[in-house]
Amino acid sequence: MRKLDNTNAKKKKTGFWSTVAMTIGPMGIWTLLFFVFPFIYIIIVSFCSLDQFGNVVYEFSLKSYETLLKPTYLSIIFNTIKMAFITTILVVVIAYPYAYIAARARKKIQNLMIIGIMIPFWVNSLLRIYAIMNITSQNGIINSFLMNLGIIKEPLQILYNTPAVYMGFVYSLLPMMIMPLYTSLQKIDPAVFEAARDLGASSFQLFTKVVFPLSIPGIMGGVILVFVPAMFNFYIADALGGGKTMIIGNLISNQFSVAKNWPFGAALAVAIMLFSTLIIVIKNIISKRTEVQ
Amino acid sequence: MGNMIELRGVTKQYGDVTVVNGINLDVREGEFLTFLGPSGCGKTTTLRMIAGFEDVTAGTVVINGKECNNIPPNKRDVNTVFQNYALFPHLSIRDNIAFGLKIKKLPKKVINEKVDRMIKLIKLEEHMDKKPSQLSGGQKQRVAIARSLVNEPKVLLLDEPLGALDLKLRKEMQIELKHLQKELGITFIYVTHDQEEALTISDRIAIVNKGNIEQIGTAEEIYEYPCTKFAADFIGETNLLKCKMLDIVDKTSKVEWQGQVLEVYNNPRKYLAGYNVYLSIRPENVHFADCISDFNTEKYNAIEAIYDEEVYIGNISRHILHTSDGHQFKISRFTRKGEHFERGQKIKICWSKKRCVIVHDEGGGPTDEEA
Repeated sequence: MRKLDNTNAKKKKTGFWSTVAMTIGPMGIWTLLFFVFPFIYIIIVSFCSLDQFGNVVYEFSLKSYETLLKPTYLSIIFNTIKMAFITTILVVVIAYPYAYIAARARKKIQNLMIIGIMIPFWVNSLLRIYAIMNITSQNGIINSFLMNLGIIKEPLQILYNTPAVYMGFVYSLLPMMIMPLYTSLQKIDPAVFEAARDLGASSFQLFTKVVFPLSIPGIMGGVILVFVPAMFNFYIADALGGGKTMIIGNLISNQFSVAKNWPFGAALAVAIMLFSTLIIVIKNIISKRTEVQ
Repeated sequence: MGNMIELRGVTKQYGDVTVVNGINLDVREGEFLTFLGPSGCGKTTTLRMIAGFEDVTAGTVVINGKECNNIPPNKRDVNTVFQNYALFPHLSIRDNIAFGLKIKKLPKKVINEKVDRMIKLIKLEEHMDKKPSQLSGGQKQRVAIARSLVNEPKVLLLDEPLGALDLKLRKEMQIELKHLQKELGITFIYVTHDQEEALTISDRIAIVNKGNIEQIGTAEEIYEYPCTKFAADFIGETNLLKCKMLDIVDKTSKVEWQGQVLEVYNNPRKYLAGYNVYLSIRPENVHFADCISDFNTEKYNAIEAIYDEEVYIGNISRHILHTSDGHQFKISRFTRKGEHFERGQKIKICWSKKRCVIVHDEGGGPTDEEA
């Protein structure tokens, strides 16, 4: 009897592991190969140093992190976080009315508004940035149009400054905020709006006491999708800022491509990753508090 | 007591479609009035016009003596209980109930007192810090009602509030609602398509059909003396015979059905001769002529019908027959042992001249001469 039980147990065990291998196995290997190992490698490299020929020396060193704490680099980190923060606020302010109108509109208009956001989003964002450069350059459409109308005499300098970088960030990240926001606003039962009106709420009170609190999960989802990419992006600042706006994304890409200082690039990446994690943790705390369930 | 709500020729059109067709209605203060009708008859739209969620195409809505056509819902002295509760999912039960009072910016102490009293009234003290999603349907419904009542509205509008509950809970809630209404003395306007519910809880019922009010009256008035074919058929069960009005002699109205004269004693409405009318006879008022000891044509109308089948439902048996013009005729009576009829058998059936009513078809304005 006991023997039988044993074989049964064994069978069960092998069954379990083969199930695991077959189901999450392929994805697990994929994740290990392309996410976990590179991630670990970056952390390792960030604790290495360079010899005089610029090769990575695999010995423990805190040199990269010391470099990172120099005022020049700290100010770049601070600048990056500030830009990501302002970008996020701008995106929320611009995305909210759009998402709100889309969520409350008739089905047909809803679909149009969402498709209008999604189709440009499917075009490679680098291409879109080049398109923006084309439109806004000295002899681009906007300038030639305004000059032909005689509104301006000299072409406007739209590109290669900080506002241009913000414009690029907002433009390319807007869909990331609109989508989750639209979803959370659309989920609100229309009867809840009527209930609030019925109980005496003005349009403003309806927004502050009902609509906005119910859309916080959507905003938080959008914040993650906007804030984190805004911190890591490098090509927007390069292309639209004309290399004048230094943010951590350019700095990292410089360390890996031009300066060939991998340990320092890796250290920067780790630092910013820690900050992103912090943002996600804060987001989770807020989400849990505002959870409906 | 005066009128709390007055509807004067209230009409609602969506494009070419008329949903509510010139309704006139007075609702008295402290009354429990129910709009009863099939889905799509315009009863919910009428309620929403009173609440202010829908504009009135024509006519006026008067609430507590004040014309309200252009007053937005948040400024009307009415509150609504929605069909799907529409509680605020992000607020606790307590905050849901306090919502209206906080909007009014009442002192915190007053709000707390009122909310506490309300929570006690609906017996949800243990659940007051939960979110709506943690409550059952019946509990949610009680919160929805409390959330409205705490504002002490002049009128409470209820849009099929019990529609989502199971039968047993629904019956309990009907009685609870009725008690609550009597206790608080607030005017209730209730919308339902469930005739039993309407009969149970209402002081008066307005039968709504195709955007018109067909009849208004107490449950008894409507059941015993329906005035239209629709009202007779919608509430309870009835047999309808298509007749032609002949004349009225003393208090007896005479109609012609299949070449036979049928009489109705003391019909509440008097119809002009020559018009098409229906004779409505409730199944429980019909008898087999042979089973009645004092059968005579003075007191009873009698016709011949062909027997089809019997449906046994415990203490009551339903006998299905059909008349010579091919219409089904139902009789319900207490089950008697040994009573048996053959399919196809010709049977003389009868009913008292006092227990039948002449009604008109919908929109039967011209045939209708009020007594």
